[in-house]
Amino acid sequence: MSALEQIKDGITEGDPVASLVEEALSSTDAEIILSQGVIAGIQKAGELWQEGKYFLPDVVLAAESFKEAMEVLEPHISETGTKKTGTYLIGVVEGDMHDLGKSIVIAMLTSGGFEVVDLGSNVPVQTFVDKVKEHEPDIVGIGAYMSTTMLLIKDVVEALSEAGLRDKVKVMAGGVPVTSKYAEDVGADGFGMDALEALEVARKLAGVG
Amino acid sequence: MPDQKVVYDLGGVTIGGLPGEYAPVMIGSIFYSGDPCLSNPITGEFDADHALRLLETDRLMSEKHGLPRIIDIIGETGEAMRAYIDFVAKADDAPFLIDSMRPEVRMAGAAYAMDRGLGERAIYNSIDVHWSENEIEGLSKCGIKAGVILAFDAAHIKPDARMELLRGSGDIPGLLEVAQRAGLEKVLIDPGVLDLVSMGWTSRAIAMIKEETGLPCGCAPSNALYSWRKKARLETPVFEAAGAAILCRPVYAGADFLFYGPLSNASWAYPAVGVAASLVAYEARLQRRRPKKDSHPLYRLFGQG
Repeated sequence: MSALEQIKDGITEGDPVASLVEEALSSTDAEIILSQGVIAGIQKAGELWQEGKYFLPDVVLAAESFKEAMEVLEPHISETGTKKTGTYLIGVVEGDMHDLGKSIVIAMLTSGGFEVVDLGSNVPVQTFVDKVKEHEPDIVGIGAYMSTTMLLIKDVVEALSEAGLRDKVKVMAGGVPVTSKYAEDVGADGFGMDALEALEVARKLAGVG
Repeated sequence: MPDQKVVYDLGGVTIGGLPGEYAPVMIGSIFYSGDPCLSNPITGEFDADHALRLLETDRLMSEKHGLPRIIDIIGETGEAMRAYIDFVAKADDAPFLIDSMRPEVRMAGAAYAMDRGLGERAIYNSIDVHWSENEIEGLSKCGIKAGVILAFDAAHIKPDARMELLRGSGDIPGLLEVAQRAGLEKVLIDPGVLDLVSMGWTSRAIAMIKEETGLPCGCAPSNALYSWRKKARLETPVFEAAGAAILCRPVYAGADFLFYGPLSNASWAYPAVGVAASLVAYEARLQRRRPKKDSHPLYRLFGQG
C-alpha cells in the first residue's frame, strides 16, 4: 500500500496519521497528500456514513484523524496552491459547550475546499459579529446543541443585521435541536441536517454547488 | 480484577464494589428541558403534584426491585435549581444530583445544598473536560464532597482514551486530579455515551476504569436512547423493549449506576435492570461472591422466601 493510500485508509479508519503525513512530506508534494490522502480519506468516511455503514463514533474518529493530519499539512500548503471554495466561519453559541458535531462539519467543509475559521464553542453573540468583520467570510455557521441555547442563533442573526453585516455574509444554522423550519424562521440562509448536507448547502451558498 | 473496589455511602445509598456485591443505582431525571411537570424552567415553577407522583413511583419501583435510587435534578438557572432542591429535599429522602449544562448553575446549586445542610445527599454532576479554575475554586469553597466526573470528549472516544482523560497526559491534568483539587472525596466516573451503537465501547470503558481505579463507574444511555427514538420514530412498546436492552448492556459490564432517563421511565427501567443485576450477581457466585445486602434484586425478585 502506498503512503497516500495508508493516509487515506488511516483517516477513514480514524487512526493516528500525523507521522505518516510527516513521512510522506519528505517525498510528496503537500497538495497531493492533501487531495489524494487526507481529503480522499474523510470523503470515504462521509460516503460510508451516507451508506449507513458508518456510525457517529466512526465519523468522529475520522474527523479527529483528519484534524491531526491537517495540523501537520497546513504549514506546507501554499496560499495560492489550492483553490478555495470560500471562507467559512463557524462557532457554537454561548452557554453551549458541545463541539462534537462542529468537528465533523469542519472536516467535511475543509474536504470540500473551504477555508474554515473555527471560533470554538461557548461563543458570545458579539464575538460572532467581531469575527465576521475581521475575517469577512462567505458564510458563517452558527451551531447550537440544546433547545435552550438554540434561541441564541436568532440573536446572532439579528446582531449581524444591526452591525450592517447581514447582506455581506450568508448564514447557516445547525445542531441537534435545529430544524430547517427553525433555521428559516430565524432568518438563516441555509441549514444542514448533518455534516454532509451542511457541505452541500454551503457549496450552493458559495455559488459552487 | 482486584479482590475489592471502592464502596461509598451516598446519603444512605451504597454504591460501588465488585460486580454482584451491590445492586446498581438507578438515577432518574426530573425538571429536564421538556419535562411535562415543568411550567417555567427559568424561574423553576412546576406542577408539584405531578412531580410528587413521579418521585413516589420511582420510590416504589426501587423498593419492589431492590435497586437503590438517586434523583437527578436538572436546572437551567440558579433560581430554578434552588427551587428544585428545596422541593426534592422536602419531598424525598434519596440522595440527589445537582445537574446542569451550565457550570454556574451547578455551582449555585452545590453552594445552596451545602448551605441548607444537605451535604450528605448532594452530588455534583459533573466535572468534565471543560472545567475551569473558577469552578474548581467554587466547589472547594462550598465544601461539597461527592461528584461525578464525565470522562469524555471528541478526541477521546475509544475506551482506553477515556482512561487517559482521567489520568491526564503531558501538560493536561487528569480529571481525577482536578476532582481532588475541587475537594471531592466521593467520586463517581461516567465515561460518556456518544450514541447507542457504541454502548459496547462505553461498557468496555466502564470495566476498564473500574479495573484501574476501583471507583464506582456508570453511564447515561438515556440521551442517546431518545435521539434514536426521534430518528427511528419508535413507539411503545418497541421503545421500552429497546431501552431495556440498552440499559442492561453496561450492567453486564459491572456498571454501578445508570441514568435511565426521565423518572417516568421507572415502570419499565427498574424491572429490566433488576433482572440484569440478578444475573450478574448470580454469575459472581462462580467467584464465591454473593450480594452484600438482602435487598439485592437477586433475592427480591428471585428469592424463594
